[in-house]
Amino acid sequence: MTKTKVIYISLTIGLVLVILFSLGMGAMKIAVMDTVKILAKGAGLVKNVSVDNLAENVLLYVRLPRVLLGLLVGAALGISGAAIQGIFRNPLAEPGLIGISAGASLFAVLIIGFEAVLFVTLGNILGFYLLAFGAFAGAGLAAMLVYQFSKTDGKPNVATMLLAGIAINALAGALTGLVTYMADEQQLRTITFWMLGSLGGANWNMIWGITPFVLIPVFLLPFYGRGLNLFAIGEHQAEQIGMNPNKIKSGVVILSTLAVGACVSVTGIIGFVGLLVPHIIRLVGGVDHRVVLPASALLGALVLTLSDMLARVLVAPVELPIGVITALLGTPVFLYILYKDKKKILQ
Amino acid sequence: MLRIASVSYKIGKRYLLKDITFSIRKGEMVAILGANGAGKSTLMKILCREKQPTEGNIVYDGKNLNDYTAKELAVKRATLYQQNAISLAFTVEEVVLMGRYGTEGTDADQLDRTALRETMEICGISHLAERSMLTLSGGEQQRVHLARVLAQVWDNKEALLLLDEPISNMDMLYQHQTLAIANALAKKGYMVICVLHEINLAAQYADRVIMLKGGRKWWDGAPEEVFTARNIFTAFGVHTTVQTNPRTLITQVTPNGIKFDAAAFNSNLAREYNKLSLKERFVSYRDEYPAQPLWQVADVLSVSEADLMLLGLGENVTLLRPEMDHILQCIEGIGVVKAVTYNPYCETERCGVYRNFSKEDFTTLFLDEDIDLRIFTSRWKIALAAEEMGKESLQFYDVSGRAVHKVYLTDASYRQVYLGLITRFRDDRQAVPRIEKPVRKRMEERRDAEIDIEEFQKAWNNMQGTHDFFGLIRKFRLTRMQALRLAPPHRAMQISLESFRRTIIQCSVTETPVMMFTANEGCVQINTGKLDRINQNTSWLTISEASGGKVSFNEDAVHSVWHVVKPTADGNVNSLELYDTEGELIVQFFGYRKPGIAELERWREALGSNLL
Repeated sequence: MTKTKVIYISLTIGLVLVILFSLGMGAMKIAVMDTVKILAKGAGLVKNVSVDNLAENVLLYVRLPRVLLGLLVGAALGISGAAIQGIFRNPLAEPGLIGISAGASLFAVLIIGFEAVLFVTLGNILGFYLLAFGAFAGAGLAAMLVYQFSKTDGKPNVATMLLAGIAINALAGALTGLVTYMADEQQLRTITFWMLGSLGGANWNMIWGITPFVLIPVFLLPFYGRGLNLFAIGEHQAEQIGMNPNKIKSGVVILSTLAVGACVSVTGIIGFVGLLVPHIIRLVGGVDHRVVLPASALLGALVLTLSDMLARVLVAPVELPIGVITALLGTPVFLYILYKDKKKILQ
Repeated sequence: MLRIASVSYKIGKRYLLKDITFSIRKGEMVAILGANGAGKSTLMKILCREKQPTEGNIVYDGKNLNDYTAKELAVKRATLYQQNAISLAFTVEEVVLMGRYGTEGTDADQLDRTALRETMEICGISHLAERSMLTLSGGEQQRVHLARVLAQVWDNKEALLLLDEPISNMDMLYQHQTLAIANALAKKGYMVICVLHEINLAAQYADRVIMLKGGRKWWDGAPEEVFTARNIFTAFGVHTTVQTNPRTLITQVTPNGIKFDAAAFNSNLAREYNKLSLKERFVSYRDEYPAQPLWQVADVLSVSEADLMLLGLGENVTLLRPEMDHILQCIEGIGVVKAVTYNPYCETERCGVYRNFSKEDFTTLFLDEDIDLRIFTSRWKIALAAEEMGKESLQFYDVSGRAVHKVYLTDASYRQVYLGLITRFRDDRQAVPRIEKPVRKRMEERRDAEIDIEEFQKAWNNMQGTHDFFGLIRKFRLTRMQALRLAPPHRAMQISLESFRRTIIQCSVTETPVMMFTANEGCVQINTGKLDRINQNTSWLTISEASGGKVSFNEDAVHSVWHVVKPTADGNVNSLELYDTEGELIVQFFGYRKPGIAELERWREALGSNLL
């Protein structure tokens, strides 16, 4: 059990450090001590501290929402990735597999593609959130479809879910391609940027908007730890030990869709986090989902915040899409894991 | 207690399980055996609630199995599946502890740790505790899962353990250990149901054995009762030798082994072999196994008996024109000959003169004390005269080349008449006649529910003669086995082969004349007389009648023996009927009787004293 504690403690420390650095780094550098001071003042803990006004504004209205968004999205992707891998009994699964990402992209691309028409009719009502709502609806719809198709004799069947996911992904991909083909140059840039994902649009409204969608799954999913452990030895076996595999399946799929759908809707598709983070946790701390789920949320938050910081500072003042960073960071690490320790995670 | 009441399971119209009923008490270890596809796994899936029975129900401790919640069942019943793939690198200890997920309570942690330690110890995996499951061998993994299953119900000493082929991947030591653990737990109150393939292990460790065949429960009893050579052959199709170890009193089953000639099933290897003509193959096989009867040789070479006989055409075999009734009529002139009729499991022979030829609609009859035959010449297609190793005979075959009847010359025969008969009926062309591939036409048994059982029973009770039975089963479209099963009370009773033997021996002692009916597709030969000697040579039982007639049949082929009572105008007629696994009649025994005369009282006594 001490190993678990070490993992939690080091992840928490790492996360705090990354947050502090991340808040300070960027086009305008803010020293760590200043960051702490501004945060303390903002939270009303200290009163008589003199801080730079500009730094305070940048930190509270630009950096902080962005870092918080990174934390939420990272935690959501990490924990959903771990849970979905558990459900599918397949270490290569990720939330995208059940159509969440593809559904979200299709709707996002549709909205970008038909922007002109839509903005006239709906623009005023939904405003800037049109894209986010559309993507969220797309994610939910795709996951719903996959889930409905996977039902055999009233029970969700994992193998069918995988196949239905592949089919829905292919369909959504084809339709997305079709819309892309018809888009003009400006729309194409928007689409590409969205597809690679970015935390660039972060603001406080967005944070308040997605927080419940992310926090509820992040706090509820760890309760499925035992159930997911039993899933590893088989659904029937789980049932014999007193679990209801169908409840576990629907619970995990719904919560994951909620979290990932909400994130994708505001940031676009950020790949690799959901796949990679749980594997790193398993390598270090074992495969027990009761540890893997919360630890994946922590590590996911850490990795995404770090990636976002790198995306902002590497070629400043220009910003890289965060998907590029996660993939660039993730691929070598992942390949290294495969090369060195595949026996530990795969059969 | 666990009670399984008339459980059936079907997919579409096909029954995978039919009408399974049994119950298990606390402290009992039951092994379920059966060939592949007998329904063992389906039964286990129904017991562990993975599948719902189509009909019937299961009651566990006074409560319908379906009324339990998963949580309640988790502490009362644990299941070890046959396949236990694991997808993540859990450690052995973690997996065993998973068995404890369902347990709750204040001292759960303490109990968990005890269960973990003790189950790992007994399953011999303590030293593997920290190892990843993915690095273990199949047998070690299975032991871990066994420990997990045991851990699940470790605190409930009246729990039910369902083990589906628990030892399939294990080495010899752990096979025995696993079953010994199960047996030891049963001794302390657990109920254990265990699907096994190993008959000897079941005999050694199970208190009770249930054998399934074709989705039905065929036998249920102590291992020494169920494991007889005959039952094992019926269930698995393997001939075995069954002995009881005199020291341990445990039943030991040794399969007699199956031998194949690769050339017989590998057409590649057989190419050389097949270049040999049928005749060369026949001769080489005959030399190798001189004692095998012709029909068996024909079986091995996958041709018919007639095919083999006709190889000698022009040499020792003469083809006759198939004028069956004429030929039959002329046999009387040959004088005393030996009449032989057989089916795959029974053979009868009797010397005598073919007297009193007569013909009814479809039946040719010889009604005499010695030669007593009912012949359906419409089924007879080939007639030939043969000389084999000095023995001359007339032989008759059906359309698929199976022998229906043979007539051998004896020392008291008039050979000149025989030779004259050959000259008279000789087929001018002497060309091999067409022999068709045998078609097995078997009536598909209908469901009992589709049959008007009440009417059928009424009709049975109103029979006027034994021959009415054929009309009866035709009218109600029943197979013979089904008719016996659905017979009115006390009209058809299944008895043991042992009772049958005792009856026959008593008939022999009391010098009761008996009629023995041996039939095949084209002929029924009746051997009547006082029984003289009864001999057993391996599995063949030979019953000799006082004037030299003989009936021998293969006891291993006997699947069931029935005592059948048919009402006739002359009172009830009792018969003993032996059937093979397919429900085909092997041989039938009646007391001596004639139309108009009631059955012998001594026969009834012999039946009564030994059967009831």
